Amino acid sequence: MKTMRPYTPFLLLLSLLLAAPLAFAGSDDGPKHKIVIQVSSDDARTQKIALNNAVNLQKALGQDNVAIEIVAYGPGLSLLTSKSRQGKRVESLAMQDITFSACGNTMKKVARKTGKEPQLLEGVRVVQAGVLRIMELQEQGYAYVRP
Amino acid sequence: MNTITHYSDEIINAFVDGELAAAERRELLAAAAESDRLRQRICEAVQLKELVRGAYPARSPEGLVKGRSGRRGARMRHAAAAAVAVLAVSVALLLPRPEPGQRLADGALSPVLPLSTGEEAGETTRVVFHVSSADPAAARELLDQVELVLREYAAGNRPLKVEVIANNEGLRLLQQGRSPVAERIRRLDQRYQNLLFAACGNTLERLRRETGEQIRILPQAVIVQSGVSFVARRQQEGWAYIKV
Repeated sequence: MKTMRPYTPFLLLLSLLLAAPLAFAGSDDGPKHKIVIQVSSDDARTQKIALNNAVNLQKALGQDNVAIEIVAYGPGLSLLTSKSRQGKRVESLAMQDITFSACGNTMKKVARKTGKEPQLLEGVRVVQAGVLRIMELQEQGYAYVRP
Repeated sequence: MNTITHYSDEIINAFVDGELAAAERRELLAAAAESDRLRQRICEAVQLKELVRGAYPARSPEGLVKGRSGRRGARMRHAAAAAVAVLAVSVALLLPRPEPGQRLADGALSPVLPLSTGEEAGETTRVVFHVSSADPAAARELLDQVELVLREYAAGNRPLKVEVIANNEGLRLLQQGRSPVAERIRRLDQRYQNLLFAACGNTLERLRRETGEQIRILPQAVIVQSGVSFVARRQQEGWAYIKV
């Protein structure tokens, strides 16, 4: 029991060598921080704050270190349509690595009500349903922010 | 944090197993006095425990509870207990028949089973919705989302648990005689076993005190002590969170 077996140091070394790539693989797996921002309100101030949050987070953490997705649904969809009060800003942020997801379910609802599908801004993509997307992202480790 | 009380299956099982602290027991009993559904769930848990104990004396009910991942840090893990569990499981495996899984799945048991066996964390997607406004439009939006998620997962045959917690003005959505969505809540509750509505006990107490109203909560809802602690805890447990 007391004496170390001759191959023990070798085994230790081997396990370290084997473990090293795992450690690197961990840090290599996309950006370190992941944040989902929920916009479900039509309120102009709330929508503006959501964009501010995204910009500030990206600035604070570094564009390469953070994945940010803004998911808009319900009355919040107005942030991402051609009638958005933040249209220009949304389009430019979409080019700076911020993902904008519009709720397909809400779009269908609007289309049923008004007779025409809402037009989305450049760079905005459609997801099946905003809520499902937010759940999915949180399951993937995204932190949840609701301004 | 030990003042948080929610009435998940874990808590109910802990209650039945006599593992809750005195204060928690009192809270649960108080809530049970208010809620038919909670009383029913407790009765079912007791029945289940009796049944399991009767059927498999070698495999303690403890083993059953321990095998589930939902229970968090609720008790210490003694090496001795683990050894006993291993022994018990081996004995159970050596016994010819019936397999515990089959027996438990036999159906005669109760609606508790689909919630408490098998897929706890891990594969099951779990989401808690939080509502704190009494706005009827927000309430409809909330139930639209809840229903959409439930339907989507049911259609894909994917395991899901949904909880809706109402506090502050949101409590009105669960108030008897006042909720604009009472009928829809009743229907959803009836249709989906994996859906739970919960009202914040702190808010309930405050409203009763401040307004003198005799507020009664819908029979489909349970009462948790603190809505905020509840959602915080759910998030710590890895639930997705959606504020409506």
